Amino acid sequence: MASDRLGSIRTTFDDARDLQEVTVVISIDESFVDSAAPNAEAAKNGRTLVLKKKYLQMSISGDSSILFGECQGSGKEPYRCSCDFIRPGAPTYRCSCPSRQFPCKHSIGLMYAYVQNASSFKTAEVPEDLQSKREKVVARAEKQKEVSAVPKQVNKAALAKKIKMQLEGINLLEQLTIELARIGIGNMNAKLASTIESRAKQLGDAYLPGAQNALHAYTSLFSDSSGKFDDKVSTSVREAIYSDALDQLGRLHALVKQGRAYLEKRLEDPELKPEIESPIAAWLGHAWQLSELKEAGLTQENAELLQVAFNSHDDLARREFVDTGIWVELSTGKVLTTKTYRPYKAAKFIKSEDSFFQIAQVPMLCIYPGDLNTRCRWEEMIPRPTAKEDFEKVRKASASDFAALAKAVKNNLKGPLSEKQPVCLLEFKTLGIIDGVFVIEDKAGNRFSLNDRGMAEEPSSVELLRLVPVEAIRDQVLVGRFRHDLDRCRLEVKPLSIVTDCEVIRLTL
Amino acid sequence: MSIAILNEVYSEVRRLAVAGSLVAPGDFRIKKLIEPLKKAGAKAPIFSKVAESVEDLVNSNEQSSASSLLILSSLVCSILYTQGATGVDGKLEGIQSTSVLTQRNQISARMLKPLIEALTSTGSGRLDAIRSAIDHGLFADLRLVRPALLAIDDSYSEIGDLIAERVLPTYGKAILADLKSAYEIKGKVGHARRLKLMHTIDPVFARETVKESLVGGSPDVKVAAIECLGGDAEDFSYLIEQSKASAKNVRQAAYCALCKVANEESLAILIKGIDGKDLELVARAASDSKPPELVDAALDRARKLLVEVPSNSDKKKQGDQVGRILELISILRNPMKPESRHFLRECVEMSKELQKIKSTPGGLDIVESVVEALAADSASIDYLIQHRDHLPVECFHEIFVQGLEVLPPKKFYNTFSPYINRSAKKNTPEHRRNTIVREGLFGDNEYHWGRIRKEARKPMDVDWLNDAIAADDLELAVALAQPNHAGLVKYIDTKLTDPKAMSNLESSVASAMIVIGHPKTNAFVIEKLAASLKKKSAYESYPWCNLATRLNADALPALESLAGDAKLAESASNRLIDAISEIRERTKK
Repeated sequence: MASDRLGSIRTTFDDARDLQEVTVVISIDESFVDSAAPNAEAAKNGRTLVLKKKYLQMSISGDSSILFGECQGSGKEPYRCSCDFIRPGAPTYRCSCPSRQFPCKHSIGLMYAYVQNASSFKTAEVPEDLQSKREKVVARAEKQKEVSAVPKQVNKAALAKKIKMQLEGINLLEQLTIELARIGIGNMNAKLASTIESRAKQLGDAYLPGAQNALHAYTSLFSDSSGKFDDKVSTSVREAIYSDALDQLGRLHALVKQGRAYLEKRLEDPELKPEIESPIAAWLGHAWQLSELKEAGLTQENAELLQVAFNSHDDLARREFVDTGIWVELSTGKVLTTKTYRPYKAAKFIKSEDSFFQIAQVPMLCIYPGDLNTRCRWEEMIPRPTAKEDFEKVRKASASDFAALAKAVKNNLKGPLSEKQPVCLLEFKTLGIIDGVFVIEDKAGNRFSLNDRGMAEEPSSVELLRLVPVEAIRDQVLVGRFRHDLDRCRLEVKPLSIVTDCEVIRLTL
Repeated sequence: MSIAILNEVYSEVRRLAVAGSLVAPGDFRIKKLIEPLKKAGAKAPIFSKVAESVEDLVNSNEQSSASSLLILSSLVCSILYTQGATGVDGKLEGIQSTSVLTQRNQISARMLKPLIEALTSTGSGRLDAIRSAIDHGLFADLRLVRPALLAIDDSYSEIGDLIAERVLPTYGKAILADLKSAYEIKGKVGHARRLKLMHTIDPVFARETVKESLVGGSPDVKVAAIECLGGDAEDFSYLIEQSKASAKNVRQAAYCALCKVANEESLAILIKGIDGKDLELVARAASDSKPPELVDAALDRARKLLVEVPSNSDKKKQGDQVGRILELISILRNPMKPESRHFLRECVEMSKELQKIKSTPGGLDIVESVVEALAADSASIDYLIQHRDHLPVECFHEIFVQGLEVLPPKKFYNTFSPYINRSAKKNTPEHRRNTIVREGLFGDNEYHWGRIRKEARKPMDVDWLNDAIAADDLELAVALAQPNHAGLVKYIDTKLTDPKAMSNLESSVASAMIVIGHPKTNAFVIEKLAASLKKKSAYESYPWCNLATRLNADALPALESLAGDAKLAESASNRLIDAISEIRERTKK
């Protein structure tokens, strides 16, 4: 990060109720504004507004907690926009323009203007109407806290009805899985794929979107990049598809078994909360609310996360864009993931995520059930620049014994519903080549071979290892995604990035 | 644990899953694995479990086979997942080539993704995206190296050239191996770029490839290889060889390289070229640098041909001869030797006789070519201006342009103002000369006059303007507007009272009013701007928005009021906002 371009806003959070003063210093730089923008177009438009000098007035409050200004737009009156950091972890963006995107280009432009030239902002009194809105936000946040402290009332009858429908859905999934196994993977054709797709919709109606997606994942193995059934694939590709399809069938079968057991248990006891020891609830499609995660104690206070990889791809099976961030929580060393699903139909109105180059300071991190690379979410986050110690923490959290790591990964892989491509931190001694194969080696001489097989949506990264700086190919940490190739019976690693003592060198996107 | 047997079970399960579970009951291939599995089970109980599962499958029926197959498959996969090999035997070799990016810059996915798409896909708008990325230094992200290497073959040649010239050289030696491995000696222009790039990055590394390409390369690749050659003896022998190549572009590249090698052998080849069919190629090759002896030879041939041409009765042959003269004249230029200058001036003297040659190309083409050559020679410009009336009207434009560039304003006026002839009949030389001079005086006509006006714009002599006002030539008067010209202020005042007199010249009049600081400028422009904004076509308001940017600060309230009109289209409003910002910025200073 270019520290010289950092604009700092010091926010004093004065909570009148408990008279506790919290002082937070948040830093805004271009990457913060980039990531705050809902999409690339909005960021570009925001920059253009600054370039075109459309801001008629740019101000900052005396306590430096809010930026506000006026931007000449297409309306008669200039738009009044503001970026309010009174809640540093969850800034509030306001604008009088009619845009449905938040923040809109006017608020984004205001932040770019601040980052580029903070001195152009005059200190001014916050307008009355804006001040009253700010007070309401603080009051609302307080009220939210109170509401979330009260346990939610569950309509048991409705829940029991829902579970029964889910069980019926599980029966349907079993029927379809058995049917697919009976017909045979090699006999899959466009007509059958279409039939399965249409029947999979019934799983969605039965409150099993996760199971629906798992079934879509099976049929999409036979699809081309446009999502249509592809019957013109080469023999080698077809063989690879067959192996993946067999694996996916096994997963569907396990989902039927474990899902039924879980749902029957919940039906017997409607008081029972969603399973938190395993990810089965998420597999079935349970959309975890943050309040549920908090209630289940699946939280971590004052977490600090460093993003080590990011990927945004179009998931044809789910019919949505998926933004995936791979993060290291610096105090526990756990590798966590964030996922933002943007259904095609609503993609324009949902903020797309972006690479994040700072440290995310999260007051309350909510972590989904699961073992490796569990998903996490947060409501509030304050960015801060990275420091050398952060990279040191990543190194400490990484596995320096490849043999022990391989064992742990294999143990995880054997569960049919476990994460099949877990991401781990590997502290390697040497990065080299044996017979054209890239290999990393630990201090004891244990090795992992590196290759690009696995997620087709990620660009190849192995060959980029030739281009990384000299200092990055010895005694560093590789962020790698494991994959077990059943056909070759090999456990291999796809490199995602290299973490050195001062930076993350990203190899994918 | 011996996993060979498990792998066998997996293969059979996979085979049955591909074929469909209906064929599984009683399948003899998987059945024969039961016994070995049971034996292995004595040592490791998990094998017994697999054996049982296989037995269940073999003994299943049509209804239960699918379920049994899935159970067996899950079990075997679970075991195999714990058995994956990890290590690779052999000596670990270090990675040879590493990054030479002096400044690394990892960019966000939002910026990276569209850029990778621009580099690896097709369609419009990509060039601008790539250019902007270069200007912002985004290519210092190593994730862009591979896409950039692919873009060297882009079907849109401007992208390929841009990447080869401005992006890939910054990666230095780190990409040499990739360039070499992707290089195809028989390839097209993308591979020619690869070769030149390898040579640019490391001439020693590229040397052998260059030599091989000269021998067996495609024409594109050969041209690139020739451009990679130097002046030593070995390279010279290659050049001689390539000057005999069958492909024209290869021969031209060889001639081009030979022009830079000053020795007798190269001269002999070049002279042979101008005496033969390759005259055009040599002439093009000699446009930048050439040995003086080649100019002498060209001059000699041109003189001889000029004598022969008029007497040739065969029009086709005459045309061929004229064509050769034109090529030879082009060799005489840049730099111009005194002998060449003398010859060209002789041609000017005999221009009337030359114009009698009516072949295609003909004598007029020779005269035009001669004038063009002399116009590029600073020592001949005065000569050309003196002979302007002796030369055909087709040459007048070139001479007028030179006059505008070199003559002092008063002399320029005295020389060219007599050609303003408002009553000249159409299609006459007088009318054409009048048109050329008038268009030349409309300095804003960038399309025709951008070439000279930007560099050589200087105040026109005020008599041009006085003459135009006297002749009531509004079009010319406003084009020649000069600050503080009281006569023009008065003249425009009279026109403002009679809008019809302005006809289609309103925006030109407004521009002149801005130049002379006419007191009614703001009101006039804002009135016309407001009227144009009411019209449907955005094109109507475009020139008035541009003029508005040149108004003074007093115009701001009226402009702001116009911009705030809710009914205004967003594009028009944006243009007005730009104009307001520009005035503010300018007047602040």
